[in-house]
Amino acid sequence: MVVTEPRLVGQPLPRVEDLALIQGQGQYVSDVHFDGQWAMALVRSPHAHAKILSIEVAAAKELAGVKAVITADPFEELKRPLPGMAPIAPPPLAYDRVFYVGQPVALILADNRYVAEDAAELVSVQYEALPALTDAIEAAADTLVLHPELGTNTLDRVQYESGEGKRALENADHVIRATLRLGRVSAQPMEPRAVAAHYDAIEQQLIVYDATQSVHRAQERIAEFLNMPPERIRVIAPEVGGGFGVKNGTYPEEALVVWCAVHFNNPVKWAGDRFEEFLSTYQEREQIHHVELGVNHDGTLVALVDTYFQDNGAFPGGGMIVCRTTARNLPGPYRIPHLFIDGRAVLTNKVPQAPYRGAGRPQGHYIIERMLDRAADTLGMDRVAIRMKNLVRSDDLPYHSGIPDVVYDSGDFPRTFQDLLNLVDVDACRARQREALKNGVRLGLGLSNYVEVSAGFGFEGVKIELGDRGRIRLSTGATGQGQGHRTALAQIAADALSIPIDRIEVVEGDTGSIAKGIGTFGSRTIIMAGNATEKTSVGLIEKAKLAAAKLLEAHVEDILFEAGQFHVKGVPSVALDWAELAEQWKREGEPPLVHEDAFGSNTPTYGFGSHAMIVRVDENTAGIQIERYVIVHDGGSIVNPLLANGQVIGGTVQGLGSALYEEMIYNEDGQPLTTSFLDYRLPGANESPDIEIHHRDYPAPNNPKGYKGVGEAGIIPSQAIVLSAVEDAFRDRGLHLDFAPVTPTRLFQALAALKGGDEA
Amino acid sequence: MKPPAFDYVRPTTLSEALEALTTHADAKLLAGGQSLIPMMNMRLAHPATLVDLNGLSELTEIREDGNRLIVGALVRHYQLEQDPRVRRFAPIVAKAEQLIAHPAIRTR
Repeated sequence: MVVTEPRLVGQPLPRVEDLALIQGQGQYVSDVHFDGQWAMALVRSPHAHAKILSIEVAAAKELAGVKAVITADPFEELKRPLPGMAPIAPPPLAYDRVFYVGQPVALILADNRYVAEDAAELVSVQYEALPALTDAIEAAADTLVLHPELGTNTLDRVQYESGEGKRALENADHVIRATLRLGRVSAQPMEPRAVAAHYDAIEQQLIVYDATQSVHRAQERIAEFLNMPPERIRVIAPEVGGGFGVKNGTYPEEALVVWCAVHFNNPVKWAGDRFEEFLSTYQEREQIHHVELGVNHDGTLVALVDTYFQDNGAFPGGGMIVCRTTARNLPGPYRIPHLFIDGRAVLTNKVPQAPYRGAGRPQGHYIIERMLDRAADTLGMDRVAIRMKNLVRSDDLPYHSGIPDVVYDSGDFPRTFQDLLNLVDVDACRARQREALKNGVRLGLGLSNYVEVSAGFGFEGVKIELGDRGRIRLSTGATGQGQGHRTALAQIAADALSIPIDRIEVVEGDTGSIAKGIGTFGSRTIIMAGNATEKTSVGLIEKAKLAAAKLLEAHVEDILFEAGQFHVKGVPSVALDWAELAEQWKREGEPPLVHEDAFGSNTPTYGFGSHAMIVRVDENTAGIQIERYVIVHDGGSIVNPLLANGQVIGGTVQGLGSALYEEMIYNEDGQPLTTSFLDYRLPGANESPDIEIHHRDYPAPNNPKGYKGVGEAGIIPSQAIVLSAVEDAFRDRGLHLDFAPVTPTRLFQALAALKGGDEA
Repeated sequence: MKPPAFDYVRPTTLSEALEALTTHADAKLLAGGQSLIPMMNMRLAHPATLVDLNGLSELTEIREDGNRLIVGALVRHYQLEQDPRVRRFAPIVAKAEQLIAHPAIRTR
């Protein structure tokens, strides 16, 4: 008789990670203390753009407790560009010119961070200030070219055209034009970036603890920068306190810590502080779009034409994907037969950009959703109706959006939107809104649809080892930062191997555990490592059958694996479970069973959903309160609804920050003015609404387990929906908002502008 | 965000505190540290000496004096929020205190 084990995939199991973390037992890079370790502090540029005339370090070197003060001179290797940042990368220490406030110029190694910071204050750098570029459109004119070797400030240009492109606008009944902006935001993970390294000269091995989202990419970068074989470098990401994309790229501090550890043959640690997180960790979102939307009288979309500029900061930072992903997201889940998209990533004198949770998805959806609102308002049409009219229908699937390689493949967008409308009860909402307005209370309803394009390239590796007493050790190249992979991957493995989940240990973020991997970003881990877990489990079972055949003295084709037991066909009474198999195999003198495999796919997954929010706006203070937030969400086959909800809620709240409060402000000289939580406001518990989530789980058709990404679902519509809701609260006044975030100041100014000269 | 080195004194009487202020050049008073310590961590303030007032029990009292209520300069926000005498003498103060930061900060 075959006993069917209860499946763990799909169950809301509490996280195995939590017990240690809530007891303060989690070990982060800051908790690494090598014997004799030196602390590193950096001297950073106070100028956004300047020539370095001289660097005077004598006073810093003399301070008691200082071990070394390093500038790029005389070390040729510190003048080389950082790896992994084509086509233009800074050296880890600037020696000729600085391009943003916060760029490292010199470093101090000292007994502790206190002394290191004292010494940093004693380093005297003479600069000749140069004009700074702080506006992407101005920078794109190339009147001043920051990097002459590139010949232009335009780092990347993205152009897509489908149908008749721009010409199609001529055939539309209306063309709606708008200039829409998004401010710059900083991810601000709870744990700032940090790296600690120790070179073992006897073993000739470099051990690096790195708060990174990808240990294997870090290993490649370090190998390249130090010109050292990768197998002599072990990178470990211990607990990582949030990443959100910005812990995934090339940074000067990583290169400097490893170089110092090898150069001095002494352990070195740099643990960035909150100020450094604001000054030097890559930022995102900042774009300006000139949009034209062609639409017919009945609301049918004809064409979308968008010319946009992304403020990329001084270097590529985390790569050029954001500008491209923005383009891929511009059509959203709507049918737009003609597209013309022309986007530029432009270099300026600000902190470089890197993909931050969403990474172009929020920007693209912000544009199409805001333009749909404008079109509805222009046509005198309901904002719901224009969306319903243009959503991709289930019988359109698979639907090619008009962007190369973007093919929506699953689900039912209109039905999901209708489910949301029913849950919110739009008619009742409208009635309540009218009633409230009579009493001077302004309510607004915001609605937004989205598609979450995830993964779609590369692979992820998984290695599974059968240990003593049937314990399973699962290693992966995925490198979590709080997502709960150790729970989710164990659930998948427990089902695949028919083994109790408490026998499974998941190890991630260690190049010493698995030779190949890519890492955790872009909502890819469950899709890639999840499928790899299943595939590797099947491979391990095959190897175990060979072992069982030998132990049970049978042919391997006669070995059956059922309900966690191996037995010979027809002889179920003589069976080996995983523990017995491991024991007997060991007694034979055989090495432990181990199997390593990877899952690769170049097809993205397409989760989708619909959000609704109701805001209450105080007309006098321009304060915005969220009364209700409802999400209907498709995340494909869900491994653990608790974790999936956590991702959606976390993303939504993080998005509310960039829609309502968060903005990195730079003055005209390129000085960042928002460099602490006093000036840069994150949403906290007070600002976070209760979020209702309703799941619609349409399995992804293009991977074996049907998984889709969920990490960015929450944040994608946030800026679009907040501006939409606030505008709706002032529909009678014709309020138009064109900048995210809509802070109270901006709303106050927009309302004052509506009143015109009425108020002195 | 580590403060520069400084000297530290902890007087136990008001007169000792006043004397410390005159004998130490560039001294700053430390009470709750909610503003001064972050300023020092950001190296926006470089006091040579911190005079810690938390040993001055004479400044931590709330006492009635006829129809007046005397509140010492070191009384924590939390005490003002909770003390029944404050509620009696100046209920608006107790009410306003609930809106100042959050409980952890009000006790500092």
